[in-house]
This record gives sequence, structure tokens and C-alpha cells, in this order.
Amino acid sequence: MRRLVDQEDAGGQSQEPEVLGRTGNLPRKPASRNSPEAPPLDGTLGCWATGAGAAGGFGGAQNRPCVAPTSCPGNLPARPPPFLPPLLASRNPCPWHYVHLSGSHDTLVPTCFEAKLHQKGSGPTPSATSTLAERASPAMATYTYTSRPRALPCQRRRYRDDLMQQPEEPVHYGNIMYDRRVIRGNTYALQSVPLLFDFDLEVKPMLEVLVGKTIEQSLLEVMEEEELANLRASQYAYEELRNIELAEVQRLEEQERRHREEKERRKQQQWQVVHKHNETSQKIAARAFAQRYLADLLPSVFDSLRDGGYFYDPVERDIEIGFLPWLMNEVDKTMESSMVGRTVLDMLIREVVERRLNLYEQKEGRHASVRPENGLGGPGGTREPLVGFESQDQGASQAQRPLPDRDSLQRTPYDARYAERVSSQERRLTEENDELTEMRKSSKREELSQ
Amino acid sequence: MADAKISMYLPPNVNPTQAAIAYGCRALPKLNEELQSDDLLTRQQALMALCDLMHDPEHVYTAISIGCLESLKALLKDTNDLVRIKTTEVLCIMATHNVGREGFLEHNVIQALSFLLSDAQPACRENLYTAFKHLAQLPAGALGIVNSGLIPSLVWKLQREEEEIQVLLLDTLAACLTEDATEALASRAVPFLKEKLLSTNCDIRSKAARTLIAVSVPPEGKVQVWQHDVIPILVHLLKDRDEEVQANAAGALMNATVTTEGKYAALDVEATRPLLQLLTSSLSKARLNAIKALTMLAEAPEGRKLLQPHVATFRALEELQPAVQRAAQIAIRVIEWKP
Repeated sequence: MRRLVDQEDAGGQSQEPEVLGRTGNLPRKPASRNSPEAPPLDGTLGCWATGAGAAGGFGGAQNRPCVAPTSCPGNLPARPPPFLPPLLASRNPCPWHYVHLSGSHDTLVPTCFEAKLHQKGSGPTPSATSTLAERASPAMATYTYTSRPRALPCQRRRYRDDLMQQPEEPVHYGNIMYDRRVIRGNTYALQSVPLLFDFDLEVKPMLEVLVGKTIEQSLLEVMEEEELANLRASQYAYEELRNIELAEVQRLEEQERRHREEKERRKQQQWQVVHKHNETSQKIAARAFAQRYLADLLPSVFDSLRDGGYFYDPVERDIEIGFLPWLMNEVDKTMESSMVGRTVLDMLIREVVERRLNLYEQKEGRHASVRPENGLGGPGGTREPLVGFESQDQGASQAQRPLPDRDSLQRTPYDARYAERVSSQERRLTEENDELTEMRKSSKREELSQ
Repeated sequence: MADAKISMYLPPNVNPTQAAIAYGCRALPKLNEELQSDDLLTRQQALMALCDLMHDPEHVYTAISIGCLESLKALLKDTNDLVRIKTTEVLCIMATHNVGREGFLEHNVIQALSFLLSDAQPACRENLYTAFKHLAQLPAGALGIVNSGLIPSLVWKLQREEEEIQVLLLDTLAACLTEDATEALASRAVPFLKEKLLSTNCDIRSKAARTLIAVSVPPEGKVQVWQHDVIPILVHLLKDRDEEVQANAAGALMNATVTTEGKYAALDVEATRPLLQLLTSSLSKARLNAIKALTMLAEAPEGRKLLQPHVATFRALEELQPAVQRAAQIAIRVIEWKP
């Protein structure tokens, strides 16, 4: 352990003259570190790994080399970090930083702030060396990545009696990355490195694993997203087509349905039309038939009616119904009356004849010549025996009944005489009738007047 | 090579929030055990670790096979918000993989997730809806969501959530309704969607129109769309600035105008003019949908009369992709059909 420290010391001390003398001791170290790697990586690794390397090298219970004088976790903000030579710039120029006239203080590229946590420190080394180193910087005209930002000092005399150089006080920076008092990861970057292990070599597999895992995870996530996006895109495309096809299918279905319904309706219509057609034809046939049938019906009806006597001439009917029976009646009555008259006359005649017969019989008993006088005096003398005739009439009517028996017995012999007598008697009767009627009338009048 | 020195200190804990992942095949079983532990911190750390691991489909498969889903389901009912949020996040990541989706369906995770629909944490709900959305991309998943009776609650939620979540919900609903739209129709989805069509967010508009496409596939949907007077709004959306919205609106119209009432409703609002303009759109989906919608309208005699002068446009379209070609030919045939 002591030997290591000595070595480091030696290395550190040898570093000092290198600082001053600008020889390439130190650059050897970075060169040995950095040679297998590409310059840019050098730069970065040099920038960070130096600090880290320095730190890593110191990880463990080691004493701090005196080269890294100040920083230890114990006295963190104690002193400004040691000045690292700008020799690094000449040997390994950081590609991001270019050489230029640098003024006073070079500084370290800021690194992981936590690197100091890993540093187990040795005791603080005197700051004299650092300040000496710092002081030496204005002499150099280079600018490296370790240079600290500074304002260029004014070279001319500003004040009249200012003949001294301005004291370069430590400038207080607001940015901790530039503040020298802060221990950062690159604090001991440019200092000598322990020969524990080759950091760059060791870090490679770890880094590979780390980076690999990170990339794997992120690749997974990105692939996931991409897969999802692809899926979604293909799904959209499929959905488009599916929607189109579905709409087409539905349209066709709808069309089918409409056509079918239309066909149904038309069929219905047609059927109705045919039906109506049939009905109409049937109706026409029926009508024609009925007309024909009824056409004959009418005359026959009329004929039958006429035959039935329903059509009559009212005058004719009237005559037939009213007049003719009356006529017949009257004719009957007249004939009857004439018949009656004849009968009455017959009776009268018979009565008279019978009486005369009786008389004749009586008188024949007396004389037969009295007869013509009766006959002559009959019409003249009828007025006198009128009353007697009345009684004779009555008697004749009384004697009429038994007379017809006698008449029938005694007709034939007396027919001739009878006929004469009858004719004369007829004349006498008619006159007598007339007289009788007048007598009756007068008697009636007398009766009435009485 | 220099000596490798093993450090006496433990390696630094880079991420204290995450549990340490064991090596190899022990990783997931160990995490599974940690998930069931009683210590809150352990559980949370295990969940964080699981989130990272679940991006790998092989890990998803392993996790499901060892029964992580059961522990996750138990964690869904945890009282701690972070636990729930992280659990839903894990499930969401699992749902992006097909093995995960199938695992969900087998282990009945949908049921367990549905308890969180009214969770207080918006992040939790968002993860939940994202998980549902991913699940719904799978037809079986969509069917699972429908079968578990979540559609009415999702439709109801559409009214109450913020816009970003509404976007997720609409995506989920669109996918589910392509499977089975009857439940949604019964739970008044059409009026809600009609409101969303008038939203200011063009994403919401386009997704609402896409959902309407799915809704108007069954005949009942078409009837409802016509009854709620959605067709005039759709025609208005055809002139929207966003092409996606236009395309989806044309698609919804194409489905809704299959019925006669729909056709005449669209013709009353003069849908032919914007549809003809859409024929020249750059989005192929818009063109296809517009052609189909015009075909529907051409079935009606008035539509045929209106479209007859534009047959030349359809002929010009025939030279493009086969789908467009077919659609354009069908359109021409319909327009020129004589009874």
C-alpha cells in the first residue's frame, strides 16, 4: 500500500515538473489509457473517464495520491481542485475543444457530480502546488476542455497608478459546474491514474450490458408501438373494405327486398285486374243472357196480361159491365111485363069467355039470338055494366082458378066462337081496362079526397 | 488485463422505485410473490418492475402462465391509488400483446376491471379505458366486453368523461359495436353519439362518426339513426375540414341510407352535392364511402335523376384501385338502371 502511494507520489511529483516543464510524462498515461480507442472516444473518455477513472481507481480503501491534493469526501468544498496541466491538450486534443490562447485558469470539463461520492480520499495535499500551477497558467496560451471560463483580463492600464498586475482572485462563479471549489467527477481527471485496472477495458462489457439492456427494452417498446400501429393500420384498411362490402350487401338485400315487394304488389295488381276482368265478362254475359231472356218475357207478359183481360177499354168495359146488364134487365122486365100482360089478358079472356060461356049456356037455354047483341052492345054497353064488370072481374078472378080446368075441357068446341068472342072481348077488355084504370084512379081520387 | 477488483459495496440502487428483478426465469415468479406481499412498498416496487418487463411478449406469456393475473386482479381492489394506477398500467401494457388479450379473456379480467370504471383517479380510468381499447381490437375481446354487459355503462360514461378519455371510449365502442350493437342501441347510444358529432374536437367527431358506422349496420340501428334525425348532421359533417371526419360521415351515411326513409331523408338535405365533392378527396376511404353512399341514393328515382349527369365522374374513378373500380362500376350500373 505504501509502495503504491510512493509510486503515486513519484508519479505525482514527476507530474509537477511536467507541469512546469511541459514534458510528456503525464500524457503518456492518458495515451496508454486511451490508445486502443478512437480519438473522439478518447476525448470523452478522457474527459469523464479520467475523472471517473481516477475516482474508480481510488475506489477502495486507498490513500489519495498526493497529486490529487485537495479533494476527498472529507473536505469537499475545501480547496480548489488541482490544476491539471494543459499538456493534455497538446497530446490529446479534445475534438470539441480547440486550442487557443488560454489565459489564466484552465479548468476541468464538468462531470458527474456524484463522482466525488465514490472517492475515498486521502488527505489533502498542499494547495501550493495547485495555486502554483494556476498561477502558471496565464503564461500559457492554450485553451483546453479543462479551461475554465473566464473573462479576458484587460491588458492595458486602466488606472493611473496601477503598475502592478491585477491580483487574480478566485472568481466566484454562480454556475457550480465552473466553480473550482466544487468537487466534480472530472476533478481528478487529469491526474495520474492508478495501475489497478484498465478502466476502459473493464467498462466495456458493463457498458455493453447496460446499453444493450436499455436498447433492448426501448426496442421492445418501440416495436410494440410499431406493431400496434401496423395492426391498427391494417385493421383500418380491412375495416374500410369490410364496411364497403357490408354496405354493398345490405344495399343489395334492400334492393332485393324492394324488388320482391314490388313484384308482389304487381302480381297482386295483375291478379286483381284479371279477377275484375273475369267478373266483368261474367257480368256482361249474365246481362246479355238476362236481356235476351227478358226480351221475350215482356211481350209474353203483355200478352198474358192482355189475355187475362187486364187491358181493357174502360168505355167498353163500362158498357159491358154497366149498360148491358141493365139493358138485359130492362128487356127482361119489359118482356116479363108483356108476358104478364099477356097472361093477365089470357086470364081475363078466359074469365070472360067462361062467363060468357056460362051466360051462353044460360042463354042458350033461352035463345041463341041474344048473342050478337051482347057482342054489339058489349062495347056500348060496357059503361053501364062497369060496376058489374068490376064485380065480374073480381068474380072472374075468383072464377079463374076453377076455369082453366073447364077451359081445357071445353076449349075445342068453342074455339071458333071463342076466337070471335075473344077478339071482340079483347077490344072490349082493352077499353074496359082503360075504363077500369080510369075508374080506379077516380076511385082512388075519391078515396083520397075522402 | 488489469486485476478486476470486486467492490466491497453493494452495487448502487439505480432506481429505488423499482424492485430488483431477479435473474432469468426467476424474475417473474419472484415478482409474483412480491405482488402478493403485505408490504405496500414491496407491492409498488414490484408493480413498477412488472411494467418494464411486460413490454416483452415472452414475459407476458410467462407471467400469465404463472398466474400473475390473479394477483393483479386482487391488486385492482387495493386502496392505494398508486397501486391501482400501476396495476391498470401493467394490464394495459399486457393488453397490447395478443397473449395478454387472450389471457384477459380466459381469466375474466374484464369483470375485475369493470369495478374500476368509476374510480376516482383519472390516470387509473385512462389506463383502464386504454386496456379496454386494446382488448376491443380483438374480435373475441370485443365480444367479451359486450358479453360482460359493459356497453351500457361505457355509453353512459361517454357523457361524463373528459375529452381525451372520450376519444378512448369512442374507439372502444366503435370496435365493440362492430361485433354486436344491439345493447348499445337499447341504451340510447344514438342520441349520445349525435351530440358527440357536434363536438369541437375533430378527433371526437371522427370517432363518433366511426361508431355510428358500426351502429347503423343492423336494421334497428338504421331505423334509430333516421328517427333521431342524425342524417342531416352527417350531411353537414361531409363539409367538415378534417378528411377523416368526412370519410367517417360518408360511411355512416352509406349505412344509414340503405332504408328508404334514410334515402329520402338524405335526399331532402341534398346530400348528393357534398358526396360528389368527396369523390375527389385524397383519402381512399372517403372516396369509397362516398361512392357507396351515392350508390344507395341512386336506388331512389330522384337520386337517379340527380346523379345521371355525373356518371362521367364515376367513369373517371374507375381507373384506380380495384375496390374503387368495383364500387364505381356498381354505382354506374345502379344509376343507369331502367325499371
